[in-house]
Amino acid sequence: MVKKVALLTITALLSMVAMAFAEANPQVAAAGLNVYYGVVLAAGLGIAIAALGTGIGQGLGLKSAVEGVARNPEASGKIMVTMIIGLAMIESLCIYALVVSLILLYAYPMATPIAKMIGLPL
Amino acid sequence: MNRGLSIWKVGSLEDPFLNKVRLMNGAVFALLLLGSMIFMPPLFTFGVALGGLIVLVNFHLLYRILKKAFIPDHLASPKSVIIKYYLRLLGTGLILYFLIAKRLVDPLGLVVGLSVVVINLILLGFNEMRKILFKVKEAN
Repeated sequence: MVKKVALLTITALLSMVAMAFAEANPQVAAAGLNVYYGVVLAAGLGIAIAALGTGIGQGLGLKSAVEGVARNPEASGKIMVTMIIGLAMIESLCIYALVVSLILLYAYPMATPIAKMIGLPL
Repeated sequence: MNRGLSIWKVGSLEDPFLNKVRLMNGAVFALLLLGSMIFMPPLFTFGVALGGLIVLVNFHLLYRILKKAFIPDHLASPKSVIIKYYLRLLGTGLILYFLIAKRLVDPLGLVVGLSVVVINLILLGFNEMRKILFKVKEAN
């Protein structure tokens, strides 16, 4: 159900964007849509892959920490400190990916030159 | 009770390595802020300041949440730990969204600010590696 709603929302959004572009020159509209698709795809795939890697990394780290604490409960304090530092380091990678995705979606520095190049109104 | 107390001491501010990490975090943040204040425009400096603050608060909250999850005798429920963990991530995401979407800061400055902990840990890692290498050389 959730997947269907998400799919319908994305389709509706994309068709609205296509209609907005189609009012201009069709070739310009196609080029603009290509750029738009590329940026959205890059942002989505970027954060998705980063989240996947971060999840796997943090899971492996946590698994090893829990195993270590189970074997040697006296060392749990030291293991916790090392684990926190490791988790912070891994998590920062996902935060970088989030920042890059947000930049692509909302503050893409090349948006104006590309729009000028393909003749889109600014 | 005793074991809980000893773990509390190791995992708390009394732990020397964690203290060192926190101190160095502040030092790296101050250095980056000072450098950007001198050499970069105000929007970039604002990005460094906010990015650094976000990542330092994040690190502190991560430590507090996991400390509560690991100390025997004072264990928080797993539900509350998970809720706090995700609230922290959600808060970070929302703040970053507003900063970038409303163009309140320079994105590059924000990235530099967010790198405070990473830069610090890399420096500390090199320092530890240097110590190990020198020990090996002295042993030979």
